Amino acid sequence: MRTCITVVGVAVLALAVVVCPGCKKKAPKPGVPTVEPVEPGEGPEYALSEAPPITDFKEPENKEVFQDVHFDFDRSDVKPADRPILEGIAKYLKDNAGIYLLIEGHCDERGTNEYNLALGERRALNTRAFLAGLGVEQERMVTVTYGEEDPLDPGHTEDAWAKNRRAHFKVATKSTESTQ
Amino acid sequence: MRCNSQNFPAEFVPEVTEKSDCWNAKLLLRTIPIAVLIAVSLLSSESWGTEHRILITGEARQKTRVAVPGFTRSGKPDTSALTETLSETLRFDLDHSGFFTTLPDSKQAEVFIKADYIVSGNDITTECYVYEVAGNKALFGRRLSGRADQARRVVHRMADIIVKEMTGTEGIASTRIAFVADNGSRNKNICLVDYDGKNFAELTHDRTLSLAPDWSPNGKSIYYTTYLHGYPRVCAIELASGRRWLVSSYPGLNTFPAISPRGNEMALTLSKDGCVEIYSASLDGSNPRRLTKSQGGLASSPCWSPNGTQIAFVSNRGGGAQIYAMNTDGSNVRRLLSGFSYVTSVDWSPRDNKIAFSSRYQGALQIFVFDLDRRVVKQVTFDSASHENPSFAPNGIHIVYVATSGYESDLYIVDTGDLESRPFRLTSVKGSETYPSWSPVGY
Amino acid sequence: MSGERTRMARLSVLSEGNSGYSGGPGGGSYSYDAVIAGIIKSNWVRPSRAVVGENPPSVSISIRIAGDGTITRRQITHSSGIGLLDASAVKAIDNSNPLPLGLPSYISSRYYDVTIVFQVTDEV
Repeated sequence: MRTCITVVGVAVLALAVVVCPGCKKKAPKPGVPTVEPVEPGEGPEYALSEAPPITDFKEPENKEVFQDVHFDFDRSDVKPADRPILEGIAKYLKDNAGIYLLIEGHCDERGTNEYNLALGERRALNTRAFLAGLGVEQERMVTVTYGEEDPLDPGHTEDAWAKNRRAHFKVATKSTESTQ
Repeated sequence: MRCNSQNFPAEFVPEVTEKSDCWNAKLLLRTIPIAVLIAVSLLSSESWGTEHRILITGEARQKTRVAVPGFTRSGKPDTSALTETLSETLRFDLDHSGFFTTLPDSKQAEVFIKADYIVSGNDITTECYVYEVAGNKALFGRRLSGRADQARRVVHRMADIIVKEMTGTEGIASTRIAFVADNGSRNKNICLVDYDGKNFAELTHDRTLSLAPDWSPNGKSIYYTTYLHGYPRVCAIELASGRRWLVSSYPGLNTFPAISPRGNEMALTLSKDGCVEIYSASLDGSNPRRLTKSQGGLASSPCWSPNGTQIAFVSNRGGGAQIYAMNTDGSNVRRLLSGFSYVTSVDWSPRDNKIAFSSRYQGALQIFVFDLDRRVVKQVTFDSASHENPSFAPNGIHIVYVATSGYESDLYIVDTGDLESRPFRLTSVKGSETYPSWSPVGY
Repeated sequence: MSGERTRMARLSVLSEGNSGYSGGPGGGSYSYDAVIAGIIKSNWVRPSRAVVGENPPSVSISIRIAGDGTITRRQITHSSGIGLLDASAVKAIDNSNPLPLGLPSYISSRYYDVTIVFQVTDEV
């Protein structure tokens, strides 16, 4: 008897949530959880190697080559529109064998700080994988995420957010002393 | 008294207030089955106990009303600042225990507390007696001593004892919350505060990013993510000594350490293999073993079930951010919710089979609690701010979370058992506070 | 006992509804059991959530109701094991005494013995 009341009560409350948005009511009942099949990763996964000290990396002088590439909200896939930028970077790196590349992953301020830290790294890794696919050696590229902790534009508009969802590039020169 | 049998109403109405001798035949026929039932049940019971039962059910919504008139000093009323502080602390602790509502006097109360203290030298001794108002019966009494310069802490411990004696559960009055405070560009530090907002302390001062603190199960150390060496690495700090050591420094991202409740391993997020996935490792970071495969997406923010057999985490493998659970070896991965989108933070209750999570809901980010056993979801935040990053108190009832409105983030505490009461604002320092983590034990 | 108090008892049950009541004979949607259940429940100050826990405890109190609605006996026949909960149920009975209506005519004896089971439920 109580179970029936409970089920009816939850259903009624779920209905109330739909029709009564301002009220303090219960959230919709979750569906039956699905068991997700676990498959090997589809995207290319290039293992990272030991990186030079991050202080070795500086803003590149030729900014027209090393422009930021951008991402959609909650996405980390490289956009087709940014392909020319990445091709330019790949070419530059292939022409200048002594250069290391640092790829910084960033997010806009929306969403959990925790989640954005992981998302920023995913953006950096995808960018790196894309460049590896264009022929750049993996060992020359390192990643770092800053999540939403270090935005380019501190504003709170769609414009600012779009600028902040980015991968940013810095370069270091390979020297005989950096053996770390 | 007249029997109005002719116009007897369709519904059976208890009208008779005096015993009536007038039995109409029709009435008798109608009531014979019921009368027989009653007669049988009455006759069958030897004593006056009966098989006839009425069930009344109700929710335990109300908290125990406790009168806390305030501390006396050496048995006498006292108006000093110290007495006021102690009384205030005791009332706050009981009001925020999840089980009590404090009142100034015992008129409407079920229990009341007589509290007294004395100071001798550098020590303070507090004495509390708890009485039942009805019958003025003493339930128990306790005496507790401590350093006078830590008087608040003594009262917190006393409040925890009262909660434990009265309800059987551990109180949270002696717990603390670790979090990240924003000190400017790329300068964020791990800080500690008592659960009542007092006793703020900065744990790191590195002028770099220090993020995502997590407590060891014994409450003695905090593991966190530091950018001190440029790349995000996990390190730990022992609170008593201030000693720090590096825990995980693999290439790429090292973050979100979550120590198992059994204290023998940890889960964390690494990107050393070119992906953002959850690994398990020893407490010193050695022997990392990959647990998740997110199909080109990410898996992060691991948290353990109280018995240490399950790990819940956030992943966007299915397209958008959702929460999943898996065994501690990575098997039996299953999605926990449907009907929620952009679920980006999760915490498992340290006491029961409930998880708190944040999700987009009706245009804002709200926090919910999902009871995994009863398959029920309860919303616990309601205003238009952006709510995220919930962390359970050890009692499994209170939750600390981040609320962002006006582009500044502050920490609030909600009592999920009493959503009528307003959430308590934990931090009021300027700047943003994020990444809250509630200590697993008191101190 | 006047018709006025009987009317008031009916009104309180109507507003309370039959929620939280079950059991006992009685015709239609409006029975004596429902009336007294409603009155006793409205006087029941339930103890705090602390006593509920995972398995809702219940306390049973047997009462004897005289013809004029006075509760002449009450006895805990099954304790919940939790002092505050038992006490709250006893108080609920005491605060409902005397009931504002007499025994219905279908009860032929001079008194009505019934066991009230107080069940605390967990929040849904």
